[in-house]
Amino acid sequence: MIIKNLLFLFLLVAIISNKALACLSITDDFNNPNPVINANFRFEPDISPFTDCWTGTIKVRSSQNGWRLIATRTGPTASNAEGDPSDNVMASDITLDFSVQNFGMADSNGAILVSPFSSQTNLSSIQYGTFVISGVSKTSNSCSSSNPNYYKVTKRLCLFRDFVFNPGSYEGQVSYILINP
Amino acid sequence: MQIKLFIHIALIILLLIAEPLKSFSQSATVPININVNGTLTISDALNDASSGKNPTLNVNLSITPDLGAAAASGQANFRIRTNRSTWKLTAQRTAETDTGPTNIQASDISLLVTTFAGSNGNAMAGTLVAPFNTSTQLSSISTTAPVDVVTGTSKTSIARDSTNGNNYFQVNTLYSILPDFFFQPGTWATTITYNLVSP
Repeated sequence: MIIKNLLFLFLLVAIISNKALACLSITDDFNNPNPVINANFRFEPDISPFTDCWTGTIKVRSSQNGWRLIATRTGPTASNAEGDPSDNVMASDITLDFSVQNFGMADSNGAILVSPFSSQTNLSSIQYGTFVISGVSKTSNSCSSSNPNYYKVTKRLCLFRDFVFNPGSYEGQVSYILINP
Repeated sequence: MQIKLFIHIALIILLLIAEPLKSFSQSATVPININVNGTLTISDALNDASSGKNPTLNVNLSITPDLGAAAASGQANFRIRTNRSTWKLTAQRTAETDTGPTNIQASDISLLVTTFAGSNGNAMAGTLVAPFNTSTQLSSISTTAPVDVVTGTSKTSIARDSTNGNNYFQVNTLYSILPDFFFQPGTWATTITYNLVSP
């Protein structure tokens, strides 16, 4: 009976320890943790060139084979735009391209962009807790911000400088969270 | 037995509490800030691209008087795009030069201004101001002060146009002169400047 209890306890501790020792990390390109990366667009509509783009990157590290990157969006919300609200800049007006690169020992097939993020989409595809990347492979056993094994996630936002947009300011935010499934 | 169970549970709780401590950082935040500024553009209707902005459009009218000769005419057409809700197109011309003298006067040149819009443009965005709302003469454009040609009351675009190709408000200007025998050989010239302004 005692041996059985000890075995059970050992298994339980082993399972939970594995989970407890797991780590997850998001840093920016300069390895700063929990980064805030501003995407600023300031433009006047014009005939051409008529797109304005912004690119931002984050680094993901996980010591577990299973992980997920999820995203939540608010806005863009007009703060002082005048005109028909249907002519305000909307999330669907902003194209969104994700790409993932592996560095160091991170498996090249270990991070998979989930549809519709596997090809170009727009910002409206991100809503609340939207599943963006399915991680099926760990990057290494360490999540230290200096660890050279990581996935670099690049997001590129582009906005057409359309004359239909109401002049004004629009603010929004996308939050990315790394979780264990 | 109960003590053992208590220890087991305590150990499990301890490990669960320890778990979040191992996650170094788990979030990234991307604030998105977009500022759309007001703008006004004029382009050549025949070169509706970046290279055709702020165009210089030459209108050359060459006349040889003859019995029953038709009027000589030439066009200068341009496209207006703006996201401003109030705007106007003004015109002013330089004092004419005359190497003849040709005896031509500005009032001898008829001027017809018409407008239309692209498929994503708003045909009602601007209204022709009298006397340009009907056929008039070049003398209606003053040499001393800008005159209003079009009054704009809304942005020129009515729908999203991902190439900005069809969201224009076009202004066509047609200049004509009859080849009257009263005119003497020579060259008569003036330059009209159209300005798009937001009051």
